[in-house]
Amino acid sequence: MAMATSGGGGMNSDINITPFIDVLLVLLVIFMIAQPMLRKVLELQVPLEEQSQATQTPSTNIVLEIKADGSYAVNTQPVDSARLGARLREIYDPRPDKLLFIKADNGRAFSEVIKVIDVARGAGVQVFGLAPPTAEEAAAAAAAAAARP
Amino acid sequence: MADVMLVLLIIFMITAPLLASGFVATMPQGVNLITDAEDPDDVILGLDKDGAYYINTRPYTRTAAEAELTRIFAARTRDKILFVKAHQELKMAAIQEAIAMARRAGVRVIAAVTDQEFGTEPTVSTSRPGAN
Repeated sequence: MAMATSGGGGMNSDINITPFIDVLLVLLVIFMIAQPMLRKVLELQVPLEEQSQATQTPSTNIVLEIKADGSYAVNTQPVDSARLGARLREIYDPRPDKLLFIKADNGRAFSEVIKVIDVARGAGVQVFGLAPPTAEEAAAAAAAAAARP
Repeated sequence: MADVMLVLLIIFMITAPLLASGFVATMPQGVNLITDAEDPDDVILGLDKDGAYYINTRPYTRTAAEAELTRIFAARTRDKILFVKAHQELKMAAIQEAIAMARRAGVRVIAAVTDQEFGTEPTVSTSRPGAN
């Protein structure tokens, strides 16, 4: 643009907008990244406080248990981890209520429980419930919580 | 070019303290996840790898966290949902304790925040059940 004046013609008074465009593009990219904050979740229904001391869950419910050694059991029947998805599909395909209760041993990792919920969702389960702890489990948890600072 | 660098510099200057003071944890991964839009009113309970509590990235002690959750959810009339961002390696004992605490505070639904496993696509609906 500086060269244009050598012709001796009229003054070129255009503002150089290139840096503005640079800044605007960077801001655009940043807002594009920041805007659609969608996250991925897995939802678990929590038993009501007053229902937590329920004596026995009705027999029609399906309870998936993650045992202390990491093995799975559906309604106390052991299930191989590789067959879990297929087994749940077998159970839930004919059932109208797609509800599964999860009961996990306290020693297992959170990611394992999430993995099980994930597999079950893939097998057609829609609603997940956390099996309420039994009275002695609740007492043990309360004692452990009290021992912590 | 200098302009771009300046803008980037400003942005990193703003975000760096947020990242440093906030809560850091690795979310567990899954395939068939529910997609959910973030809302500024959401309550997010964080549990880092040491099991320390954070509410909306601010650190809390156990008892303070329970009091805060009780206060938040007592005032809330719409869906009592608590988003839980917990480190994936945490033991369920820590998670159960947090859930028990949330339950006492009146939470009805726990949404475990997860990450899509890289390179996978959900095989089932990604909306929450009953939403459509």
